[in-house]
Amino acid sequence: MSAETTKPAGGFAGDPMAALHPPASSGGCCGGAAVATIAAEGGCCGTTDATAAGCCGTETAEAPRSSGCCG
Amino acid sequence: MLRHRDRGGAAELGLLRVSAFVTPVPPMGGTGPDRLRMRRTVERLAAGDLTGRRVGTPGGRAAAGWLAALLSDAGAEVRLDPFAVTGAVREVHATPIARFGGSGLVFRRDFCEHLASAGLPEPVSAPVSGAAMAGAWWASASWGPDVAAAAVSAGAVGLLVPRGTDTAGWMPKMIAGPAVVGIPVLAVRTDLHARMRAEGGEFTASVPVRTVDVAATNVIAEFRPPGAISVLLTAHFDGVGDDPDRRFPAACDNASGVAAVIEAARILHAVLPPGIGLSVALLDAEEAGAHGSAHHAPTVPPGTYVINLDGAARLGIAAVEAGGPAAPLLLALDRAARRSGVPLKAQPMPSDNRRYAAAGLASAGIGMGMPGYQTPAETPDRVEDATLTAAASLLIETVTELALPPAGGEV
Repeated sequence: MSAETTKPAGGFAGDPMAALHPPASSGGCCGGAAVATIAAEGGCCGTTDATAAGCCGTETAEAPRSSGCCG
Repeated sequence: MLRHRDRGGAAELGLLRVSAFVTPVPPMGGTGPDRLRMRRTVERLAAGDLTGRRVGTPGGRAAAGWLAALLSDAGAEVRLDPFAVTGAVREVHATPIARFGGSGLVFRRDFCEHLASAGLPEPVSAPVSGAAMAGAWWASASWGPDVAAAAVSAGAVGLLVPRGTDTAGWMPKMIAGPAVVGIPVLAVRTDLHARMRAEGGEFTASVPVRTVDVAATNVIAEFRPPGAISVLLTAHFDGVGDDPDRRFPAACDNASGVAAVIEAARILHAVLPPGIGLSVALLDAEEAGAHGSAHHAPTVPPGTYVINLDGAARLGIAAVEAGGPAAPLLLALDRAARRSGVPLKAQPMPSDNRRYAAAGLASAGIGMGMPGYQTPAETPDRVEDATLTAAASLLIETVTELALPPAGGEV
């Protein structure tokens, strides 16, 4: 199948407002890079607040996964 | 759901459509984002003399000065905004060494510094133990402050924790993380760590790492003064910096984003009507914990739309995270992406955009790929021209959408 026939349409596939609360389980991190290897050691993704719960942002405040990804 | 009148895409009109709402602008000659100009920006920022642009280094300061000149040439009024970052940046000031099983280990492939590590400037040899033990390196299966406290309490020499690599075998470098503990800590490649726990043996290592206080500089450029609608485009220009003997060019994260933002602003400045504010903030110290945006966000006029671009190097699906009163911004972004053919996905974007959202501003963070993320492999050739162009176009289209009110007076 050619690239032309497989190219996805632009925009959000669903409700754009979902980006206000992106699902924590959506995978990926660090600017969308497919980095699944950063250790669960605190430093991640040039991120914001390193909280006791982890460093994956102030909104979800979830601990980094074993993959190291924030989400 | 908002409606808006049917509008031709920017690409269809050579660049930006001129509507009845928009003051007529000079013809742009059908030119879009200049991929060669963006390419030059990426290559300049990734050059060796800028040493990976870590905050507080001569290379970082030189990058700020070069970007200020570039923005000024593009027609902006530019100022450098200095601020301090204290107690956040971890610096490897000499190449750590490690030996196990009679072989030397390779820094950032077999092992690397843990960001919580205490400094250990000179190598120390001791047996490896699978449990906390006095006089031994403890190869612990997990990491946490409680584990570190147990290691200190037991009198261990240091702590070894497992860590994976990326697909190219690198351990991505970071410079900020959890609080420093009272014992040396090294991250060891997962399979090697498992072997250490199973076989024991002597391990020798140094961890020449320290915390440094640094002076940072944001580059703030006003292309057009705040108006009825104001937009701030942001991208961080700092990187994690070179190691003492290895380059980290930081071409993707985030020279690519910087290049696309500057190109978008340059074009928008030429075509936006009066009354639309347009500024650019090229931010320092993102890699140290988004300090540049934390410093800048409180100074941004309320009501400003903020779009942060972190990575514009390899587009699959662009990640988008919004915060604050961002519904109009998201709708504009969605419409722009549909016209541009850029697929979007709601996904966490832990970057400077969160600082602006936390300040009450409508903020969207966009990520369009960072191959080689924070490794020596993050070189300019990894940045795709097509992605740079798509990113700049998406920004231009989005700002155009914001500048053109939807039909019927909807907001």
